[in-house]
Amino acid sequence: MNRFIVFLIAGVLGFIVAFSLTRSIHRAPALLNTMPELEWLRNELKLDDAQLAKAAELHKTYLPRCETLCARILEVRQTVEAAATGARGKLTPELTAALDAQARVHVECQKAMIGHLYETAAVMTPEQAERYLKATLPYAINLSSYQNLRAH
Amino acid sequence: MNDSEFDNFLRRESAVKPLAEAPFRRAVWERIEAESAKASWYEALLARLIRPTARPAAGAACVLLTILAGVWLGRVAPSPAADARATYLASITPAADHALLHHR
Repeated sequence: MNRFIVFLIAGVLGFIVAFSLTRSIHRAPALLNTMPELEWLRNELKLDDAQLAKAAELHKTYLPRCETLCARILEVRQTVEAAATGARGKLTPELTAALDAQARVHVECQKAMIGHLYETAAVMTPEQAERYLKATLPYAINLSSYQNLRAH
Repeated sequence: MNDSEFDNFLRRESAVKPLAEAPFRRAVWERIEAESAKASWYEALLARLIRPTARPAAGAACVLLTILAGVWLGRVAPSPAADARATYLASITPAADHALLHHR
């Protein structure tokens, strides 16, 4: 019985150590620690280290632009809401202008995102790029579906 | 006590009715036996588990197997992120809720 307990403890500890070590080694590139959102590119699309480094560079360059666009979306949305509240049942020139501005920002966001997707796809092999664009383009084309994606 | 007295004594005692607690005692033993029978399946399982470890080589092989299982699972286990693709898309999609997060 004592020997059984020793083997049991050794087995459990061995499993935990082996699992943790393999996982940390397999996860590899340090840049995934700073940009864990890119893990999908490595795990699902099997980008190698060089491809991942290029994709990470593009991602890093794109992020400030994305944040600026996020702020603009919020700004125009608030303008539309204020104009709609003030309109009192009429499509006022202010509301029309706010809606136009919102549409322009929306298009600008789509252009930026689709451009980024194509740039990122360019660092991949044709097969990887095809899978990548198939999985990401629909959300850039129809940005409202992004909310559905998050809900899932 | 002579022999005839002793014979009379035995005859008298054998005629005595069984003790009142006899059914109770029997019931207790029946319950004990039933419990033992119930416990036997996991005792058998435990014995089956322990048996290989009685031989050190077999025990060491079992430990090695669990280590190999750990290595294999460490390689194939999915990312802790519930949906890695959603996480990636969230990071590159310009959306108002991102802006709200940045403003907080």
